[in-house]
Amino acid sequence: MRKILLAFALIGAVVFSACQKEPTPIDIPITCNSYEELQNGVCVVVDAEAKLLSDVFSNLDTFNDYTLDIIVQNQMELYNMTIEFDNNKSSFEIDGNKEYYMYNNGINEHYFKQGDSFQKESLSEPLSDNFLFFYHLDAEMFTSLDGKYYLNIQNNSDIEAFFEMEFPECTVQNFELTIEGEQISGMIFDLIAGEINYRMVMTFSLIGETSITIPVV
Amino acid sequence: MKKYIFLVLLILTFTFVQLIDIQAAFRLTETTKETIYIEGVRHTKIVGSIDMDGLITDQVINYLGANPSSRSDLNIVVADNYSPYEWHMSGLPIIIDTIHQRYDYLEVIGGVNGDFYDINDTGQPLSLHVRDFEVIQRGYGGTRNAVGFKDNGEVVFGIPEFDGYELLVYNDEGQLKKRVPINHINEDPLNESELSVYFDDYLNTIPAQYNKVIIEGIETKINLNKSGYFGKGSLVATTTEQVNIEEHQFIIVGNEFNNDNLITEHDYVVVQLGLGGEWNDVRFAIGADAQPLVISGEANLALNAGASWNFPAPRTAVGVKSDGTVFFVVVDGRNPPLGMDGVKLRELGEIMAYFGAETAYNLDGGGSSTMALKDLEAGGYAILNTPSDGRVRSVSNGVFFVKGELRPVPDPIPVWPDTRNQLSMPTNIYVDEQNVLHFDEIQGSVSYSVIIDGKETIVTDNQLSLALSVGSHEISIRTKGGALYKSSDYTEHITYNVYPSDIYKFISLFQDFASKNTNP
Repeated sequence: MRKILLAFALIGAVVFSACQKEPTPIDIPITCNSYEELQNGVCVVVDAEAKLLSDVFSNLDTFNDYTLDIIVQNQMELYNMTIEFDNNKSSFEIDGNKEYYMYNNGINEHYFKQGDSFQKESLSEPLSDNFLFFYHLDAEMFTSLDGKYYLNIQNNSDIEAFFEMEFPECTVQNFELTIEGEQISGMIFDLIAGEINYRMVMTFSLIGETSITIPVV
Repeated sequence: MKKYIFLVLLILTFTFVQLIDIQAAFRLTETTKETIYIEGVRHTKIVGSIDMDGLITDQVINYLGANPSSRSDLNIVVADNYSPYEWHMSGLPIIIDTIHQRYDYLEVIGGVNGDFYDINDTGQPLSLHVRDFEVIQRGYGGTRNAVGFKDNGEVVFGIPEFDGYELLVYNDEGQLKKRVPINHINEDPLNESELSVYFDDYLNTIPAQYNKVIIEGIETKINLNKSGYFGKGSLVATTTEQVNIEEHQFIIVGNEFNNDNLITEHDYVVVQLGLGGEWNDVRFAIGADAQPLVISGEANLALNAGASWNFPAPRTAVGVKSDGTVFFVVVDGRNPPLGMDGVKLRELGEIMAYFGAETAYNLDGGGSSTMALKDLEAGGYAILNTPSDGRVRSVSNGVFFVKGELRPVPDPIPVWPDTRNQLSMPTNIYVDEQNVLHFDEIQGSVSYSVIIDGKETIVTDNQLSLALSVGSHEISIRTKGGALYKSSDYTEHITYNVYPSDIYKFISLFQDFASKNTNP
């Protein structure tokens, strides 16, 4: 008899536990990107160019090594500079004179040529957000037109902040972004400082392929 | 008794005549007198009159003087605007421009016209013309005076002394490699040891039996009467063949003079009538008139020759005081309505003595008389006097006060062939952020030659502050060894760029961008 009672009790426990009430489903709202539209409960891309631009800026966050060629044009005068990044190393070059930087153990080291050999010094200037330059940009700041991407006027100040460190009250105009694949390939714009209009042409290359060897000191 | 009276009268007559002859009454009355100083040079303008033995004339006198022996950066140069192969006449302002082109480290303060010259044809000066130790013109005849200026401020007057023709061979540093006496001009050597030089006025073929060094002339000057030759140039060929001289060339002819490779394509040579005696180390010299205006501080009242000596005319003169002050005087003339009567040479002598001359000589005058001075207000140079032609006349040469150090004379090579050890080239060359050029010191050097865009600067220290214009500059350096060591070769050039100030701002921005955006 005790075995039978035990069996009923066991069955009853199993039945009770199996019959607990299921939770009520929660209705989560779907948020689409600006270039998508919700169709039948699913985000569908409706602006391919905007999506591309968004992807480009997402990829920008992964820029660890690339080369940036800069042309500063003042009427007939052209000045070429090249900046390279390779993770914790970078370089700046103009007219064959190349300097190197390496961030190591919290110290930014500067390598510069002096005579026949390189010298090293530690840089101690604090990092300013203004030095981020184009890293401030995102896709929302641009308007695409005929395959070209123009920085909205109200966002020019993000670029101006960089140049204002040397050219107070300068203005940026006609900022155009060019794209190849899903990467930024260039930036062209006018920088107006006082009476002078500088045409700035910046070209990205060797993205993911730039390698820097710090000179031996 | 009659004899005694006659004798007394005769003695009195001689005494009286002599008194008149040596003691003229001279007075200079200054109606106005203005004096200014520019860069240590004094200019005084006197408007007034002179009274010479009772003859009163109106005069305008300009004085320009300084003491070059008191300051190393105040010097005197004699200058011209001759063409490389011809004499030439130019106005004083153009000659001043030429000084600035020839010696860009000197600035003319002021000066006057110089020697008498062949005004109707070539512009050749009549007497000695020495430019930076180079005897361009020895002068017609042997009786014309000159004024020579030495580096120590000493001034030499009188008839120049010469040591005969000489061949001077200089290396590319301007060090004298060797001086060789020249035995003949435009004539064959008479024996194995003689040396001849042929200029391009020699019309015959030079025979084959001699060694010949053919020199392309950088500058050649030949006297109109063939009494003087000057040549400066560099080697174009050596030969033993017979040759004809081409235009602007001169040929050194001898036997063993070039056996030890004395003259190379890196050298330059000078053929000139070398100065001797107290004229030996004269750096600049200009020709003057036949007789001195002032002797031992007294006007030369025995003067009885020279350019229209007894007629009033515009005049230019050069004098030196006992303390070493050199001064030029220009007296205007041929313009009585403006109070410019001009002076005779004896009167000019009195004026020079009035200004304190110990010795003075007359230079070319008349319409040539010109005095120029740096114009601080308008820039350029002002003509201080009133040239009697109504305009500045083109003249052969002039003499000027200049501001700036004259280039030191490089030490000559002690012996030839040169057996000195060669110094190393400078290393570790760079320009710092303060635009100072640095390089490592080389033991044994006496100085360094820094060539920037082809222009040489000599520094004794192993650094040089640069003040270069915007653009790209090429810099190379050699170590100079002086007399003890052979100088090094020049280094490979380094390129140093100077950017406009706005581009430096871009550079700074992008350097910071590069340095601050690495991934830690």
